Amino acid sequence: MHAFMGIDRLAGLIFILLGVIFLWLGLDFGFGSMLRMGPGFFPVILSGLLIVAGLVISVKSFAADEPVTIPRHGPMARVLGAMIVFAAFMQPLGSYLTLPVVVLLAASASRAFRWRPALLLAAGLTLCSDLIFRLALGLPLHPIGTWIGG
Amino acid sequence: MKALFATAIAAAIALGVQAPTASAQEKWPVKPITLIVPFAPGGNTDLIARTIAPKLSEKLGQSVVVENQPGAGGTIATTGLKSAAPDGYTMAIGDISTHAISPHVYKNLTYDPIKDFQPIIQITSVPLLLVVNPEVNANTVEELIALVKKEPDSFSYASSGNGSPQHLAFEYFKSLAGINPVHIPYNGSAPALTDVIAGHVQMMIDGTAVPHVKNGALRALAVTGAERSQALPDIPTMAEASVKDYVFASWHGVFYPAGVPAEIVNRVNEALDEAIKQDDVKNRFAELNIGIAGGSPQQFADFIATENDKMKQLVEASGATKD
Amino acid sequence: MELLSHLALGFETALTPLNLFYCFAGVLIGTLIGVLPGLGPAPTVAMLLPLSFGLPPVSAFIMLSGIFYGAQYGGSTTAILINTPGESSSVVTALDGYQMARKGRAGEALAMAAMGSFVAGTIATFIIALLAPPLARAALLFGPAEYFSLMILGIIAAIALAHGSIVKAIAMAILGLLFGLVGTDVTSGVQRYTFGMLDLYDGITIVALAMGLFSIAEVLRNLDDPSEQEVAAAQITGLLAGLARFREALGSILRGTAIGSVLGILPGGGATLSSFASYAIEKKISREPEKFGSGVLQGLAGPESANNAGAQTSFIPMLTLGLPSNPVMALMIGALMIHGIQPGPNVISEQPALFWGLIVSMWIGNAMLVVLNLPLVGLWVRLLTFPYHLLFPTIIVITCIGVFSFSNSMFDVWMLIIFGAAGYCFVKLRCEPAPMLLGFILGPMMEEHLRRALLLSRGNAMVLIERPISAAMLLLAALLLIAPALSIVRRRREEIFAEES
Repeated sequence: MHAFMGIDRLAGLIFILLGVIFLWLGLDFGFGSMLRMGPGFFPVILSGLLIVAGLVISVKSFAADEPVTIPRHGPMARVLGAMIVFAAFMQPLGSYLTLPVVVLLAASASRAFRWRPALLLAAGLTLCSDLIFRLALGLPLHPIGTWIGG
Repeated sequence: MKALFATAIAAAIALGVQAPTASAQEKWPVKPITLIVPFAPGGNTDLIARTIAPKLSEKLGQSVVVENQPGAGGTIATTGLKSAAPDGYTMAIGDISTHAISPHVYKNLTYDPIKDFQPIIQITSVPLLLVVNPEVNANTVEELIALVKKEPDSFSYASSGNGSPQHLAFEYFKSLAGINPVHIPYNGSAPALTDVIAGHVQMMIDGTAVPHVKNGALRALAVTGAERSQALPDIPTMAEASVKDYVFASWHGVFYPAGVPAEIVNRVNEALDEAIKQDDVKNRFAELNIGIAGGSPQQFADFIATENDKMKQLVEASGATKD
Repeated sequence: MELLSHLALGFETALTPLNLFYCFAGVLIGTLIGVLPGLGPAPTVAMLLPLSFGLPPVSAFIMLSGIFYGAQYGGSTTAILINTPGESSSVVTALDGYQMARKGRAGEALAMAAMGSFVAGTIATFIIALLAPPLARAALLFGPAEYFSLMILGIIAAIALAHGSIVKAIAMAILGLLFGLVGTDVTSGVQRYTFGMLDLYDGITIVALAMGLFSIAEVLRNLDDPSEQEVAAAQITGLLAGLARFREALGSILRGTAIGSVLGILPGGGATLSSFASYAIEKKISREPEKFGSGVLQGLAGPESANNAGAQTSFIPMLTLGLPSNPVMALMIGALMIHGIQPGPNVISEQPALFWGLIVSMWIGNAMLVVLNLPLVGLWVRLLTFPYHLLFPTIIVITCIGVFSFSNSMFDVWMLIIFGAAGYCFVKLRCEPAPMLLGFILGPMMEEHLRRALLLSRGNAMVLIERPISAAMLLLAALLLIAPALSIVRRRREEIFAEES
């Protein structure tokens, strides 16, 4: 991928965008007055400051900036995907089915991924977290989820 | 180190998967029961749950596991209870906030406090205390009202949040006494009481103030219940202290989702009714200024209906919202 | 002397074999659970609270306190080793501690954290024994106006956390302040930025935000740049190197202890600021401030000591007034009440064995923590030699479970994912997450205190400078802002003198 923008300019634009979103939503809260501040007072002031800071960063970026490098998205997608599997299936399917998938999916993000150690790790982590978190610490991490009769 | 962990694990196994004992012949309960506490560990509600859970477990012959699910003033756990399976294995503590105030304060709650739940039993009735900082020049409620009326601009009262029982109780007092101190909401009782003790705010109505009254950090002027408190027998009720018709008590109870078979509800009701009348439970609650309630599921259901009417009026009068 | 007889009673209570055992058990269990990413002191104490129900009150309390500082120390260990701060105070520990570990100085960093914690714990324990009641009363002088000014001071300290661009640090702090406002507005009850979701009514869970921005983002960054993964294991300086450099860090440890002891006493969030404040001060007085953030010993030792001293002195308002200064102390009050003890000033007179036994056991517990952890340092360091391709899936799983367990909520895990992805973007954009986290913590408190102060003064903003403590803090904040300008002037002058001579 070729560099399409400098990192400072991109950072500045993101801050401006976030500032505008927070400001737009914050305008509905009721600004109040200096003496009796409403719930919108802080959000509006802060969003304004964020936009100003974003502008300063963007303007400064014209002087000197380094190009954005687009990271490899494979590892990131796999790690975040593994966490999404955790969040989505831990309760319906239970830890015995979910955790091995989470571990394998996450582990596959590494270049050093090999099936055998990854499978061992998946089994070990599933067992250990069941022992430590559910049995020893009493957390509600059910081994068999609600979809399959747990 | 290994031995310690092994002991911890063994203890946990004993708690978690206790074998069904004498009651194994009867169908229910065949597996552990979950008692959801809709607030963080360590608070009053958590203490109540952890006091009754072992008693219930003893009487039903099945372990009762306390699970804290704090969030959004208890409404997250209560919303969750509504959709739990009505098989008798999931119950939750509910209180004046979750089942009588929040439905009128929050605009977008998805549960109906009356239709969506099967009340089991009212566990407690907690009178609150009207307390003032000791430097406030008033020893009775009448003196306080007179003082606030004389200098209406210099008095404020603290509460543990917009739409909290403490807030509504004070608003109720304001309307009956005809005074108008400024409301200063806090995020919970503890920081609010801290500022009253320090004198930054002059007064508050709260249920956890008893120890501070006993050690002189606060002065109690009245209790808000219909009767005097066992913990502070010298303090008059609001009605005795010239505010006629004023009764306000916070409460806790245990709820099932709607649709649990009546036999199971009645069994749990009887077990809990016996448990809370045992001396050790009574004494522990008395130390915390918590009164014991009890009664049948039907009595509790009727009580919740009246409480909802009363709280709805108070919420509307006070303008408290969390929209 | 009265104090001596009190301490004698304390030692008598704390040194019984039973209480020694529970103190050790608490410290050990606390450390073991505290090292799990995501499980900070508050959830650890909450989970283990039921273990204490069956014990006599004194033993129960000694064990719970042991769990508390064990978990605190355990949290610092993982913050140093794998950049996973489970709570706000270890964020600062992670700043320079993790950089030290990446350069192969993990042993040194861990040894320094242990020694710093011990020195801080010892001094803070003496402060509690000597001064608890008067200090607790002094803490009550802090009203809303004073807190607001303290928070202003804290925000300025946050910007000192930056080690790259100052403007970006300011933008990140503001962004953190905005995220901190999500949830129910305490003063008006209005929902802000919640989109009608009940799970956001109490705001974004701090653990999800902190773990996402730091640990998940760090895992993603490492995977992106595989050459860096094994750096930490390359050459590991040991424990002894840490002990040897103890003298170098002693000044930072003592300054950190002083800051932590003072801020820890304040009910309501003072302790949170102590490690940030200590970092800011160390950076200010350092001769090489630009090196902070790349593995400076003083940047680890000061905040870690402040953190531990603050944790210790946060017991003061709880023990002497019955007022909890943080969630852990609220749990402790719950534990006292379960044992039928009413917290408040009467604890000292009615339960002298409990009060003095606890204080002495705090010191014993801190000593045990060092004895326990110095040998463990070697073990922890070896953890880094564990192949990274197996270590990072473990971090992911335990972090998810830890965040879930904070309030048994899967919603928090979704937030973790979002902030993990966001944190990675910030790393790529060279925006540091630490100022954002401090802003996130301080935002709602700052706003709440300011609005409360104005409500109480009936809209008179002058209250902020009419009250002496508040005015002093605002003045200090102003000085901190002006100081960099002054130091440039001074440096110029020194350069001129150097040229002349």
